[in-house]
Amino acid sequence: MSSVSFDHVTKRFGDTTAVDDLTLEVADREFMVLLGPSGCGKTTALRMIAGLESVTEGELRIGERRVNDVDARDRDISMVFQSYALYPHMTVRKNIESPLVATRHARPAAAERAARVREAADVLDLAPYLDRKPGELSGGQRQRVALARAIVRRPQVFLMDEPLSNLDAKLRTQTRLELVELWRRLEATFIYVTHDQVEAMTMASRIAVIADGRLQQVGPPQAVYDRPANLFVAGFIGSPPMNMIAGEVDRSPLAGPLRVRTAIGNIPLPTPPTTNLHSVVAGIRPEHLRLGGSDLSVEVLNVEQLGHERHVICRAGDARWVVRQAAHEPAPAVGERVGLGVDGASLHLFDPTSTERIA
Amino acid sequence: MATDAPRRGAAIGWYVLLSALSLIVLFPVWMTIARALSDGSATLFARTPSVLPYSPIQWDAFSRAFTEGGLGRPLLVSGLVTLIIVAAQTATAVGAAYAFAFLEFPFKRIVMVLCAATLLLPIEVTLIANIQTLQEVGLVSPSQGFGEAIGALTLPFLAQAFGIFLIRQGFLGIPKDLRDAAQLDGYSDLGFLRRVAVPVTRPVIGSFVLIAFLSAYNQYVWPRFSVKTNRWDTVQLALRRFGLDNPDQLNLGFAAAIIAALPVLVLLLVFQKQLIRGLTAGAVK
Amino acid sequence: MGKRRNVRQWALAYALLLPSLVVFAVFAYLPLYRLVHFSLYQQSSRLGGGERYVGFGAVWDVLSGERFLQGTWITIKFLIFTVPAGIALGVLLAMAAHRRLKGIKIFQTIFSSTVASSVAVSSVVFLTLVNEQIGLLRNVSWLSLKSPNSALFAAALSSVWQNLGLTFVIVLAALQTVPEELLEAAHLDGYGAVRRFFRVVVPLISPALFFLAIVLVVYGFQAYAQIELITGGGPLRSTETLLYRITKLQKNTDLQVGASMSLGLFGLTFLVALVQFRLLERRVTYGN
Ligand SMILES: Nc1ncnc2c1ncn2[C@@H]1O[C@H](COP(=O)(O)OP(=O)(O)O)[C@@H](O)[C@H]1O
Ligand SMILES: [Mg+2]
Repeated sequence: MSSVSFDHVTKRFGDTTAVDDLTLEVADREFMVLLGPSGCGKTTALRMIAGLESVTEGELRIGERRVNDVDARDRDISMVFQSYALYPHMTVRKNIESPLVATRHARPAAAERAARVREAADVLDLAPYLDRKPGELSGGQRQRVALARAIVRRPQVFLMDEPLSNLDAKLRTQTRLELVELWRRLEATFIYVTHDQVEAMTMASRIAVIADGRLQQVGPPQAVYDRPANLFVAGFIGSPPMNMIAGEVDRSPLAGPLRVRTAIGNIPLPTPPTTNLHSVVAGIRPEHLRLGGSDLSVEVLNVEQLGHERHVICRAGDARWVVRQAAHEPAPAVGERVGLGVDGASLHLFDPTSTERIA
Repeated sequence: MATDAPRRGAAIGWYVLLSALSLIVLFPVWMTIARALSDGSATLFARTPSVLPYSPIQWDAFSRAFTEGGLGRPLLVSGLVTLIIVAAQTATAVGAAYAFAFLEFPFKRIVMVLCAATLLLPIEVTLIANIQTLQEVGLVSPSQGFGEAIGALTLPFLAQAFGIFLIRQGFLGIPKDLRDAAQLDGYSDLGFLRRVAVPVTRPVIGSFVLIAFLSAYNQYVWPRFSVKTNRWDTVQLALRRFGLDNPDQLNLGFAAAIIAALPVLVLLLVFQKQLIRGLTAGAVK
Repeated sequence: MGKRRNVRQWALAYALLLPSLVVFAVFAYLPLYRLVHFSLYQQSSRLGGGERYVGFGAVWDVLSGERFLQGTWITIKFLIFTVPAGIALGVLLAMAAHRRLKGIKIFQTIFSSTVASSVAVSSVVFLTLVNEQIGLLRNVSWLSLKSPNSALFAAALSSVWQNLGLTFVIVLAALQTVPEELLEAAHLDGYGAVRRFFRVVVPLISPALFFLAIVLVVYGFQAYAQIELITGGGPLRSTETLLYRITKLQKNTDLQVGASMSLGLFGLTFLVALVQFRLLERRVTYGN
């Protein structure tokens, strides 16, 4: 069906470079999530695929076809907008039908259009609302109308720009699931933009992390989480975020076992790092720290109870660290100095100058 | 509860004031009805003027305005002229507004300024030159026929800048996402204009239609000099026919004035909200 | 996207603009050009008798002549009679009708109803009040059509009445944008009703009042039917406003004077627009 590929694509608005030399292959039937902070160029990348924004440099392909100069109307693509962009003057039925009516390619007959509207409405549980106007629907219902309008034309590629950001938290969780089910059922390529890493982690086949218009890392969610390619990804993915501290690799045999020396203690290294750098940034996820160890020493600032687990906020040198603790373990007292144990195997090391991961 | 009594007192006070003001505002209308119902000679020769109709009361004044006063034809002329002007102004304004709001083209700024500048050239300023032009092409002459008169009455008003900018403002209020969605759905420019932009801005366009109706129907100066034979008088021009020199028909002029105001009054009552929105466009936010 | 698409967009834009541009060219810009031309050339009295260049001196002669200045002065007097009174009455009606009362919509409809009357209709309506032979108020000296100032005032009064609906509607709309909390706060601060009105309400609705003033001035420049139907320009041409004089100068031999005076009227309109523009600019910069 349809893959989408960016080949050294750049998009500039005057002096701002919104998307910078992006090379990315979205495979057919993949659920690709473009993840990054606001303003990083996600929407711009998506709009280039849609044909709503021109490509300044590079080549953009859908399937085998180069689409740089193909009109938006001829790309066989649906898009769900953050604001849903429903036509306020049309009923739900007319809204869903709109792509079938407006198309300048073979326009389906009325009976077939009605059948397809009905089908899309059934998929999204909209049948009872077909004769209402968008103004009479709740946010979640409007969102589903936007989805129905997107699926009714059976495009090869679906684009979604933060489609859940206008929903409340509970509805968002529920819709996440529905979106993934929809993707499985449609067997189409989804490209989904969000700044919310939870959405990315829970839905994506692969995540593309973007910062400042540049691609940082692509990979399956777990791989990105387990081996962040650089400091940005390490800090952006994961909640609570990865704990970081600057340190030095102590590799002199006289000093005893291999370790990273930091201002708050030493972190043991099971295997020598594949670098001869001296200075590094060490990163440890909250779940890889153990209270009561003796590698590092920190001061407890606060204890956040979440019910099923507990986050212990600590002062680690100049930084705030978070330690994840099971609910059944004894909680430390606020103000207490505690020792932390580190599992060296789960340590991430980064080059402080290039910010890249040290493999 | 304690505050109820003074509140009610204040309310009654306001009702009294509002009623008094209403009487003052409506008084001239009442006088016109009273004189329309009065016999012309009685009006002319009344020694002390009265706010009441003079007897014998002529209940048939309004129908006589049509029969003896010949108000039927001017109403038709006015209706036709108004219809043409409103339809044309709306169509040309929607088109131009769309170009200004959504399309990019060379010399856009200059063209916009040229359109806006016509607001400085009302028909009163250009009157004698325009009449001259229309005389030269034969549309304005003592022997002008029906088509020529209608042409002379409507041509200068087939487009007008106020509407263009009012509707453009409405178009600019359409969210960008909606335009993009329409483009992805496959709408062409004209399809988007017809199926989305116009329906979505219907309130604004509706207000403009009402304003256009009002000003087209109520015109006086241009018809006064572009119609050279009273065969093609508009309603407003027909009001000049009823002079003091013909006591028999004196009251018909007042009846005609009431009749002339009725179409707009009906619009005002039916579409009050839209009309007010049009009238206040530009004044508040 | 792409050059072909651009060209198509240009073509569409100009196609959509064409009708408007043609109308503007023929009925706004061509006449402007012709006014300049007529003002610089004296037309011959004979049909097709040609024309003679008279130059800017002749235009100046007209614009500094008695006819133009007198007409301008009468127009300005008409404005003095109509604009402040129009605004004041609009504010009065709007203040009275801007409150929560049962049935207030009825009063609001009544106050806005004169919107329905044209200049011609309101002139005929006022004949029942001020006409020398049949007017109810024919013996009221300050409305008498027999003396210059009162005659102009009588004509102006019909304008004020005709514009009441519009002024009311605009001031009311402006009042409705004044947040109620602001008035309540002022009340709590100890401002009395009068000070509340002048210190809080008037500043907040002043943009609308300026707008109204401009509209009324423009209407004043365009006043014609009131003069023709109520005073006929008399007594002794004392109510002949600028526009009224211009309309009488359409014969070939008068065109030079008429065109020059039209340009004078254009200049005055332009001045008002300039003031309006400045005010709008200020509002954009300092407003909100
Ligand atoms: N139409 C535009 N004109 C100018 N700058 C733009 C335009 N669209 C986006 N940008 C800029 O490009 C950058 C990326 O924007 P966007 O793609 O919307 O980011 P995101 O969707 O990741 O929040 C931002 O700096 C934004 O200001
Ligand atoms: Mg975005």
